[in-house]
Amino acid sequence: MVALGAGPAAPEIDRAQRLIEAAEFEEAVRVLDRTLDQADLSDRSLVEIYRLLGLAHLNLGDEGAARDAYEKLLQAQPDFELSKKEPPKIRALYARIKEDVKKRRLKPVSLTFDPPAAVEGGRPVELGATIQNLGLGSKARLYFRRSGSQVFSSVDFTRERGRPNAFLVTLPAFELAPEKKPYEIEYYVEVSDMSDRRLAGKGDAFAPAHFSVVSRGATSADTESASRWYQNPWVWVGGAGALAAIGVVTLVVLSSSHDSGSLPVTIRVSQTP
Amino acid sequence: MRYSALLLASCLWSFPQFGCDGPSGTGGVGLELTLSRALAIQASKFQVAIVSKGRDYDCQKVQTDCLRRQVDLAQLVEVTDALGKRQKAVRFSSRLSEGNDAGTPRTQDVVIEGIAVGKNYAVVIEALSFDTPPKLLGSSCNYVEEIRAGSNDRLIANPMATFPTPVDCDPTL
Repeated sequence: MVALGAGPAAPEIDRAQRLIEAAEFEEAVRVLDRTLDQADLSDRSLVEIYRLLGLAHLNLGDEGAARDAYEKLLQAQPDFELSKKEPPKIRALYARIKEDVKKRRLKPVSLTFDPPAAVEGGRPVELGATIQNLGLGSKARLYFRRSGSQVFSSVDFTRERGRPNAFLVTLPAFELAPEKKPYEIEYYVEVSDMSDRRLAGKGDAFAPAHFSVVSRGATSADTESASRWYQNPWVWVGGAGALAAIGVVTLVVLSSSHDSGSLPVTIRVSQTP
Repeated sequence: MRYSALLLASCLWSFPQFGCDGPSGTGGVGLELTLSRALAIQASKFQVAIVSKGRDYDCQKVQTDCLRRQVDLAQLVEVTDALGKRQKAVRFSSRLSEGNDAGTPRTQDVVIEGIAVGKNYAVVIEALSFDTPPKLLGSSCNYVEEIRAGSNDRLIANPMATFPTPVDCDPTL
């Protein structure tokens, strides 16, 4: 699972949860329907909204509406199960819906991402991708590093408003510092579901793709030489002290993105006395 | 305690193993079990925060009150939320698994991202109620010796300590 931002819809979602607990299912549906109209809902909020909508409709006996909500939810969480505390009739209805959804063929996710061979350093770079059939709760992420580095940084794609299959990612300017000589950025793209299962991608950590970062006005010859910079003996001869100093500065500039990690956590609530 | 929570708690007290729609007369279980179930049902969210110089804090003590009342907020290590924003803590909707046996904790897997590499951290997980503002239902404090770049080993958190009544402090960071 990944982190859930609170977002503007959180109070409404909390209110709908309380209404369902109080068996006010019709009011809960009204609140949730209104919430769906809000702009800038995160995928996580949408997952939660559809879960509650499905539950409210099930309790109202509206199988059709419940099916619609759970179909969207099951795209993101195929193993979602109703709480065992729900009455048997409700659980049977959900089991029927889930079985029907499973029988249908889901269209595979496809990714098209072709950045330019070279980008200009010193300014943020926006790159576009086409991702089809990206289910609710799934995400696409670009991992990148300067050639020679060990650790990848990452940045998430965001969906373009009004264009469901078009996604954008922005590399900040400080990650593409302008230098006299072109250098390479290695990258790979991963599209994954809420359980971090890879659905589609381009490249991987062991075989990344790459593009060059050039200074303004660089020629194609300069770009060509970027792939052979390490063959230049002057890179290795002399200037070691200057390189170390530059490395320290670079480390400070890039520290927020390279020196970070993720921590999977299992939260436990004990049931033992 | 809200009326619905009272009703639920009394219902669970009557039918502790099976919930309100199960058979009766099957023997009782301790109040703490009921309250733990109540926490799992009533928790709206779990909030996870990472504290630097973790060993400076006594986890047993940290678990008794809202974290925000016990640490300098400058000690919190910023993390990245789902929207890519840096936050002092991240929150997850409560989606605990269904524990089958009385001895099996209910669990929920989450991932905390964008943690600055370093050593000597404490990871504090707090259960928030549905109230506005929320109250503290339970807390789990865990020492993490080191966070490295990339993905780290999974932290299996200590089972959450619950409170007889919610602590009247807003845990939100």
